[in-house]
Amino acid sequence: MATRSASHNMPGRVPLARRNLLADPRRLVASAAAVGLAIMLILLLDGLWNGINRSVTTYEDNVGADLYVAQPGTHNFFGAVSQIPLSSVDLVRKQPGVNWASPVRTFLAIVSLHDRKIPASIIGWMPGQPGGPWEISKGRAPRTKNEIAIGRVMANRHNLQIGESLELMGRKFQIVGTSTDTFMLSFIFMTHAATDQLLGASDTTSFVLVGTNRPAEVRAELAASGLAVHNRDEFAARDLVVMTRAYALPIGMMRGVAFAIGILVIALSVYTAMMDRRREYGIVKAMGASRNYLLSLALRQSLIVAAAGFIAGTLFFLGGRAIIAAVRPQFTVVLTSASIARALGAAILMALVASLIPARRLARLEPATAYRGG
Amino acid sequence: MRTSSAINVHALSKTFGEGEIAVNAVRNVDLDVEPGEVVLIMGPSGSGKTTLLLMLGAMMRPTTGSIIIDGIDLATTPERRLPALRANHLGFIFQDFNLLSALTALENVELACNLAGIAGREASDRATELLQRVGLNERLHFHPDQLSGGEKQRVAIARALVNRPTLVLADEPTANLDSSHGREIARVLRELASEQNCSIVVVSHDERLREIADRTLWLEDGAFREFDTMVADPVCTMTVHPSDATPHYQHNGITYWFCSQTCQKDFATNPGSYLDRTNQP
Ligand SMILES: Nc1ncnc2c1ncn2[C@@H]1O[C@H](COP(=O)(O)OP(=O)(O)OP(=O)(O)O)[C@@H](O)[C@H]1O
Ligand SMILES: [Mg+2]
Repeated sequence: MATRSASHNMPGRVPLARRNLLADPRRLVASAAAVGLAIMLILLLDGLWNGINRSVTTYEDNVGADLYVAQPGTHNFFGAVSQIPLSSVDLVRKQPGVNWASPVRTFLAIVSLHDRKIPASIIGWMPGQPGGPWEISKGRAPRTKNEIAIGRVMANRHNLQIGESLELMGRKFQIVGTSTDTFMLSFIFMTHAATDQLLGASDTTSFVLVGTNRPAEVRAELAASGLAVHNRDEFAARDLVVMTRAYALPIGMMRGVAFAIGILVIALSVYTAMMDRRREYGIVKAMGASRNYLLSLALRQSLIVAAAGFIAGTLFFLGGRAIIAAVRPQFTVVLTSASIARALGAAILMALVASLIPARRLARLEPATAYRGG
Repeated sequence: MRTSSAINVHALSKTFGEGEIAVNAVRNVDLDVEPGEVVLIMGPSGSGKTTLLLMLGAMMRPTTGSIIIDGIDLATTPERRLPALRANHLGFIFQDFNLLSALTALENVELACNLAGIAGREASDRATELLQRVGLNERLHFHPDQLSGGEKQRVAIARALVNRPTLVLADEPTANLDSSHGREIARVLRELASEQNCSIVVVSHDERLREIADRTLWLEDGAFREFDTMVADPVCTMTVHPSDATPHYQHNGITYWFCSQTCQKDFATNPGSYLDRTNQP
C-alpha cells in the first residue's frame, strides 16, 4: 500500500526555500529584475573598464616592439618626457640578438580644430620602419614632413576628412589617411623629421623600439651599456596606471554601489518574503528545525534570487551593450570570461552577505508563535 | 519516578515576570501520561493551558520542575539540543492547522521527516502511508488552500505522527472545525494514537473531545482540580469549575456558573433565553 507513492520519487528533501519563493512569482521576478540591473551595471562597468584598458595599450599591443629604450627615469610611453640621442639607434642595432630598432618620438599636443582644441598623442616615426601606423583604414600613411594620418575615432568624432588640413603647434598639416586609434587616445602619426621641426630638436628621439627574439638577454646587455630598457608588458602596465588613474576611482565606486544595491535588493526581497511567512517559519522551528536548517533556508532563497538576478543581468547587459554599440560606437565594451566569472562571483557574494539579515531574523523567531497564534 | 510513563512531569511551575507583576501561569503541576494514553486538559481562559503545553513541547523553559520524556529532562537539556528533540520525540497539532502553504499535503508531512533526518524515498513513503491512513489518498498533491478545514487538520495529524513521536501535543485541534469534522478529527487522532502507542495531550474547550480522552483534567489558575464537580456555563456551554471566585448568578433558586463576567451579565439580562438549553448543576 505504501509503495503506491512510486510516482513521487523526488530524492532528497522538500525544497521549502524554492517553494516559498516560487509561491510569489511576481515578487521573485521583480527582485530578479532589480538584482539584474545591479549585475548589468557590474558587467557594463567591467566591460567598459576592459575596453579602456585595451585601448590604452593599443599602441604597445600593435606596434610589435619587444623592448623600449628610453631616457633613464622614463617609465611609460604616453605623455612621458624622454629624450635620447638619435645615435642610440645605431648602438642598439649593433647589439647581437636585435632584429630591428627604430626611433619613435612621441609627445602630447593640443590640436586646434575649427571649433575647439583637443589633446592628441603625436607619434613621429621613420616611414618604412616600425613604430608608425600599423593599420591604415582610409587613404595612406604620411610620407613627407607636411603629411599626417589621424585616428579614425578622432576623424569621425570631429568630422575630419582626408585632404583637409589641420593646424598643429602653429603649422599646417595635410591629412592623408586615417589609422586605428581608440576612444581613450587620439593618435596623430607623422614623420620623425616633422616632429624634429615642430620641437626644434634634431639628432634626438624619444624611444628606440626594439624587435628581438631574446628580449631578456638583449635587455640585460643594453642596460649594461647605460641605457634604460623596458619590456612591452611593463610599458603597457605603466601606461595603464598613468592613463586610467582618473577612471579607477569613479568606476570602482560605481561597482561598489552596484554591488551594495544588489545585496540590499536580495536581502530585502528574501527578508520580506520570510516575514510574510513568519508564522510558518515559527511552525518549522516548533517542528524541530535546527539552526543550520534555518540558515540554509535563508541562504538558498538568497542564492535563488541571485541566480535569477544573474540571468536577468546578463540579458540586460547584452541589450545595454547593443544600445551602446548603436549610439556610441567608439566606446568598446569588452565582455571577457573573467568578467562573467567576476559578475557571477559578485552575485554569489551578494547572496551570502544578503542572507545574513533574514537568517538572523529567523534565528530569533520564537517557535512558540506557532502556538500563540501570533 | 515511574519509568513506564511516556512522559513524567513533576512539580512544574512557570512564573512570568517578577515581583508585583509576577504571573504564576502554572503552579506545581504533576502529570504522568502512559504510552498510548490520551489526556484532555480543559480549563478557563488564562488558566495556563498553553503555557503548560509549550513547556511540554520544549518551547518554553519551566521556572522550576522537571519534564521527562524518553528519559530526557526537557527542563535541563541544553538549548541547542531541543530542536532535534522536538523533531524526534514530539508531534504538534495546532488550532489553525498551520500547514505550510507553499507545500503540498505530502510535502508538509515529508518536511517533518526531513527535520528528523529522514529524506528521499523513505520520507515520501512514510508520509504517503500516513496520509492514506487518515483518508487523504486522493489529496496527496493538493495545496492547503485546496483542502477543507477537516482535511487540513488530518494532514496536520499525519505530520505530527510521521516520526512516531512519544508524545503529541494538540492545542484546540477542533476549534476551527464544525462539529462533524471535529468529531471525525478526534476519532482519527484516537485511532492513530492507539495504533502507534503514542501519548496525546490535548488542550481544548471542546466537550466532544472527552469522548476520546482516557482522562480529562481540569486546569485552573495554573493547577489541576477535580473534574467531577464541573458544570457547564449556560451561555457559552464551556465547562466551569464552581468556586467562590467563579462568576455565578441565582435564578429561580438555582445557582448558575459562568466562565466569565461577560457570560454572567448576558445571562442576567435575559435568563429565559438561555434556560431551554441549560445544563444545570
Ligand atoms: N509571555 C507571557 N508573559 C507574561 N504573562 C504571560 C505570558 N504568557 C502567558 N501569560 C499569562 O499566563 C497566564 C496563562 O496563559 P495561557 O496562555 O497559558 O492561558 P490559556 O489557558 O492557554 O488560555 P486560553 O484558553 O485563553 O488560550 C495568563 O494569565 C497569561 O496572561
Ligand atoms: Mg491557550
